[in-house]
Amino acid sequence: MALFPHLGHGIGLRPPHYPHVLDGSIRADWFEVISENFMIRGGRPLVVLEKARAAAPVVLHGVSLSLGGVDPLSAEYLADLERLIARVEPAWVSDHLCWGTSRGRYAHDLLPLPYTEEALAHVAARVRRVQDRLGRRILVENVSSYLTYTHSTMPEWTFLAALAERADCGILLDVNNIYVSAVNHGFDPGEYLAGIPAGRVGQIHLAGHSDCGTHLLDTHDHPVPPAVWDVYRDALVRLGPASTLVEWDDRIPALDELLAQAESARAAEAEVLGASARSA
Amino acid sequence: MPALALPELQRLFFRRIGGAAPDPALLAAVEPSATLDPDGRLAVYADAYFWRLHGVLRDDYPKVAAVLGPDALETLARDYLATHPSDNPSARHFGRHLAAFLDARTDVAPFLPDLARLEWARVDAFDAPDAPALTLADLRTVAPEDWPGLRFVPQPSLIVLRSAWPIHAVWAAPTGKPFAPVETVVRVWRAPDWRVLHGPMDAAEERALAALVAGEPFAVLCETFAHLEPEAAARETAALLARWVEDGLLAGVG
Repeated sequence: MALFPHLGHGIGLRPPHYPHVLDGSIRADWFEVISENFMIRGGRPLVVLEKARAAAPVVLHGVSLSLGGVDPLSAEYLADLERLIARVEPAWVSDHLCWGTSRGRYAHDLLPLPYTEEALAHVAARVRRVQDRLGRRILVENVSSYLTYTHSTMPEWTFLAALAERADCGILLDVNNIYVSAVNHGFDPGEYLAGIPAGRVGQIHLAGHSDCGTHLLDTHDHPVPPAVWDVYRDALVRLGPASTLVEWDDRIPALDELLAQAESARAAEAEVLGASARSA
Repeated sequence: MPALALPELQRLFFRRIGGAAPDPALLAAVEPSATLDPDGRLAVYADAYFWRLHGVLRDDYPKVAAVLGPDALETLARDYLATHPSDNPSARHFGRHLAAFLDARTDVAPFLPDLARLEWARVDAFDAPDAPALTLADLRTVAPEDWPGLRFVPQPSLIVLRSAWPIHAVWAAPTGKPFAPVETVVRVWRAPDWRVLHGPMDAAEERALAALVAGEPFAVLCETFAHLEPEAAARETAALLARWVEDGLLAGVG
């Protein structure tokens, strides 16, 4: 039995789309929202969230848990997340395979971990603590990275797969991040996908990126490019279907364009796996 | 060189993205790529760190940003980030020290700290706790004999700011041009349609609203107009109340 339900092909809900939620016109299989944006006392975003939740399943995607950080997990943050979970009843909760704090300061970025046994034991213990606190299995997402460490002892995919087993968590597989990191570090996306245990993948992210000349940057400000669609198709072949979400965080287009990207993901899934894939 | 343990790696990494020169141990821990040397790769993160939080300040303080212009804003953002790094999981709180930070600077327009206070009040009003909106229909149900003792509850989003500068006028036309000082009191609040609004108050409105916020009843609010006959004072006070209700400033009676 799958660890996480297949919700279809959804979109990241962002402020330019809020009017479509408030007037009831938005249609999507499901929504992903950034958890921290709704850890607030009141106002329009919470009304939007409740309306979106009434229209479709919602998942909470965090950016500040700092699963790989050495600062203690923030009790205040976890309490806020618990309150938000009670309010939204999300299909699942996710955060990133990274660190983002140091000595109480927040980078508001997804900083890279070395892939060592030391880091694996550290992150697995923290994921377990978070899951115990929330009473649910979370999904951990691979991030785009712009550097690797000389003391890493395993590739990222081995680290992620081992983390999922050791912490008994799910994987949010971002195929754009795989592509960005593959170009930046010179590995084969297919080799990455081959190292991922299919049964652990609960969600796939699709997004666009930017070419800075010296490296690719995970900017989420473009349509999903052909090379990332290729990784997505390969992921579907190797791992089977998973709830898929299109992220677009900067230079956000009209809602129709974003929904069209979600439809393209649906079409790709049908093409790769056949129309019966979702009921398989 | 031995491998950096995770705590030391993160400490040195964070120092580097905050603008410090890279520690040799950190440089030794980073693989070069075909196009970037180790510090070039760290610089990708340092740039992202600064520009993301610069963007947070620019978005929360669009009028301060407009007065400063891009170059001065960048300088200010670097100084601010070095002094007040984010200490909250949500970047929403990052800019909360900016007005006080500007107070201590002599190289900015004298009205800039209070313009920042106005913009931060708008940020606070945006996600202030919700409350129902008091309507004129609600007030019509109040029996005449109950009016003198009637007290009002303001919206939780209401913030009153005082300044020696016409900050509402600066906000409306945020150029670098000088403004003459004018003692100003501004109310900031979130309307029932979610818009964050602000507007200046004259001395009578300021006094009456201060009495309302202090929990004083309608009869005391009327003392704002003590120079008028009692009936005229009650009419003036009722007119103020009607304006506040229409603006969505009040949450209830109690």
